[in-house]
Amino acid sequence: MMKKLLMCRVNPLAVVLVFGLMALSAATGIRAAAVKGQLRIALICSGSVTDGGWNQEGKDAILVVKKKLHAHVSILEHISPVRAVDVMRSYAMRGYNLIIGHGYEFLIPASQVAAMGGKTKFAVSGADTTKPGVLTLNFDLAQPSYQLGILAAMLSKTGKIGFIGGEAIPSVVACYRGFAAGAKSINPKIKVAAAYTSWDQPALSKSQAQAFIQQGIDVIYQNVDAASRGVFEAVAQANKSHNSPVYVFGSNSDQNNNPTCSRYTPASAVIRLDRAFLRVASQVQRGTFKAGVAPENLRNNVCIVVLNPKLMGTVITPAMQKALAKAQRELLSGKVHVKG
Amino acid sequence: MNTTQNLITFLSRQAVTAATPMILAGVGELVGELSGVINIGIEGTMLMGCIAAYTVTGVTGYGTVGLLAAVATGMVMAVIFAAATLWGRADQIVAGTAMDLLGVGLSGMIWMMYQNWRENLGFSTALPHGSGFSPVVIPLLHEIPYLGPAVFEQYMLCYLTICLCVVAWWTLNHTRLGLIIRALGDAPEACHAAGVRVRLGRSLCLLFAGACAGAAGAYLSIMQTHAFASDMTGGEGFVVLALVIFGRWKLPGLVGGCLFFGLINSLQQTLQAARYTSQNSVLHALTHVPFQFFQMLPYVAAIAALAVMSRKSPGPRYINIPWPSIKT
Repeated sequence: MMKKLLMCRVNPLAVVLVFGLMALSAATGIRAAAVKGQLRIALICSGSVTDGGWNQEGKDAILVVKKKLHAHVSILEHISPVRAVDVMRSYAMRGYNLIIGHGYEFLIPASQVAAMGGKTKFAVSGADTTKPGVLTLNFDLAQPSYQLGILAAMLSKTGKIGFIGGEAIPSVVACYRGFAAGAKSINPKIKVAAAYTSWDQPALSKSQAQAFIQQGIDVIYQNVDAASRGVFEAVAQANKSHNSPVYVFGSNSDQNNNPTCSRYTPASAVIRLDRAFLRVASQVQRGTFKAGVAPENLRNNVCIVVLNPKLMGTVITPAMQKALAKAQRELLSGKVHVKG
Repeated sequence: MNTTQNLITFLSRQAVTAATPMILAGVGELVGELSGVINIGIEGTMLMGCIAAYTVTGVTGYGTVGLLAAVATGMVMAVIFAAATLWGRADQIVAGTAMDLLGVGLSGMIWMMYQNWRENLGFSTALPHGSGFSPVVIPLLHEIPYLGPAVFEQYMLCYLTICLCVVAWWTLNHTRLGLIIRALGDAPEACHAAGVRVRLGRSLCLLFAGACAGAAGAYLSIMQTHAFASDMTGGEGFVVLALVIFGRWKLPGLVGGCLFFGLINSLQQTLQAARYTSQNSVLHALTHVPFQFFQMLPYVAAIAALAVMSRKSPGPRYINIPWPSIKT
């Protein structure tokens, strides 16, 4: 018997497949055992939670919720909208109280599972419309982007600024719109370029940023998540060889302290996801959760501009700070409206 | 330099920079395919090279050690693939797909573990200052108009790739070793009759291919960007597979294809910027063209070239056919 077992041929392909599947499954799930009666939350991401941007921010925010509300949290990454329905249904069947689809692409899957009934609540971040049974968190990054546009127009020596997005989805296009509107409010003749590359290819975003710089653009606003490292690298290299400085703005998270070119990163448009997630989770816990659209913006301090404190008074002059404060007042009062 | 010369120089330099990892991985893939083995998992191997180079450089602080780690990782991936296809007789396409999935999943998992580990220790996940590679300017040569900055202001691995291409071209076309490699893919029976161990020969070719793909990954993570991101190769491995065919399994064709792809890509990126910033009315009119049009240009160009160039492509006759063909 033993001899037979030893002689049995193991197909190496099967071994490769098994290892591949093990690696994939290990890479896509973060789970912990739940305690009975504990608030149970699932976060579903379309990309990697190590992307240094949108998804990583989502993971960090949900971990804040976990800590503050002592909730049980499960995070799934690399979930496509097609797979999302099954994944969400599975969580709902296991009694999760709240499922957050992190990205507008999860709106339809969430609404489909919500329509099946049950006690589970559904929230989708980054969408501007809603479906029955779903709370959408409408992050209006266009407002802080407007402020960044003002800053860019005041920083630019060439009168040419640029925006690089990961994908032309509504929330990213809104950033470009806000950025361009802000810049043109200071200098109507300013040229604002836009290009879309990828969320996870730093090399591609770097070469796009280099193309911008070659065309005379000296302030770049990027919203490319993990690929932002490529833009920072391009800006750092440009500042080694250029006489006049080239600046870059961060997005989604506070990227002012990035290790590559923090001296040339005056500001970031930040989404405080932790504040939004904490509020929704608290509503679920208290039983006050309501489906609909929740505007997350400058007013409720979720979408804000964070200035680099190291550059205050040097790169960011008092006149710029004054202009930013004025823009904030105008945005809050409704005097200025930016299409989100 | 005037504006036009500036632009041409910029485009050429960007083309060479973008083409280098594709050429490097492509040379390996070409040798592997000429020996009769197609590895469509090259993308996964490149990703493993990216993560190995990044993490080892991050821990040791030495980019060279990271580069060697990427090469070694690529070879380990090649050993697994060779074991499955050459010794286990698995279908090369299926095994290549599995290797791709393995590389994507494993590199993402290692990246997550590395980040957690570094953060728990209180260290940054960024590369230590000065550990990544910077472009090396070759004195005098970089002053040659147009060609100089494009070729002689590149990363160290680009110069090594140029040397590798010359050596590989000479070896494949003018040496006995090159004849054996090509015969492994075209006439393995003849090799066997001549006393050449076919599976061993193919395994060594795959090892070389794995080392090249690993090094190409290192180029992306510790040279070109000093960063790692999950799936950061963005399908470059699959483009390489197409370009090997585009080059009709000839090294000059492969190199030309990679440079062409890189050039069209840098051209489309420059156009995306210039259409907003230029005073030229023709360029300005392009602002109405959707950006997706520009993004697809390199791929359309590659497909068009593939359709034209590969009509009479004499690929290796015994590609994806296990050896021995019939069990005796």
